[in-house]
Amino acid sequence: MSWSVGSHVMNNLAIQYSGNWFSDQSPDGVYDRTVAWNTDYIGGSGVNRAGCQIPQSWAWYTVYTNCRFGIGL
Amino acid sequence: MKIGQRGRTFAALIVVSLGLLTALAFVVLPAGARSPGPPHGWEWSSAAPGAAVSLDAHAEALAAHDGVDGASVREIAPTGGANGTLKLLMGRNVRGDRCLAKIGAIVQTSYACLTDLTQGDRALVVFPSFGGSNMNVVDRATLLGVARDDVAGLTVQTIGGSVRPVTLNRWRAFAYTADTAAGVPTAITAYGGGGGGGVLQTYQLDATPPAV
Repeated sequence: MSWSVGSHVMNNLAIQYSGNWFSDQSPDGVYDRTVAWNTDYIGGSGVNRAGCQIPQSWAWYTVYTNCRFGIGL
Repeated sequence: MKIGQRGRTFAALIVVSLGLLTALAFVVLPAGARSPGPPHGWEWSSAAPGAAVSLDAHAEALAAHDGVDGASVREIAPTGGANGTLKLLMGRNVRGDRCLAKIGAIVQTSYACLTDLTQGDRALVVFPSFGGSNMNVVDRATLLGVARDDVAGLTVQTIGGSVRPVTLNRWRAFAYTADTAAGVPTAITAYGGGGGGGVLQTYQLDATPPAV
């Protein structure tokens, strides 16, 4: 199972997995959040177009704030 | 006699000046400063509102990363649906500020604190999530959030054109879930209490699919 993450607006981080997508939006219009995606849920291998390090062995994959934008664009 | 006229003139000048100052204050000062309305805010009667919640190691790490005391974290709004279980958590950081995070089967987020989130006279803090069964549709959504203490009611407006009430729980938190495209929200509106019960604020939501 593969997945990828992306963002189309500045308050949104979304993930695509198994044909589905899911987004987390910030509550104040600026996405400066740390987000962990459950790799047990979305799959164990992925493509992070921002080039962040992906610890594949973790049960959770964490997107830290320093790689939040430009993802998928 | 001259002194008396001067005195009356002086007194008249003072009265006119005070009148001008009052008029100026009415124009310059914001409405809230002229006639304060009912007090409203973001405090809770309980020091730790919400239900007890068990955090896994990763959730504990996220709390620690944001300076939130894991022992203070409570669940204030749970929900389910096609996005999986999602909960809104509230905890206190080292400054005593109340901070909120979203936790669920698929995602856990960092904490955002009310001092920052409520800038600009916000009546609601809303954490939206949208999703779809393919990249071209939006057919699931979850809204989690909290309301200021003067909010008495909430509704969402949906893509399907309906207006649905959203319940505020005892911690002034709310959850709305949609599992169909028609139920996906496009806006959420907060209403005040009392006799008027008018609209306090409406927040537009962006449910378009992302460019992944």
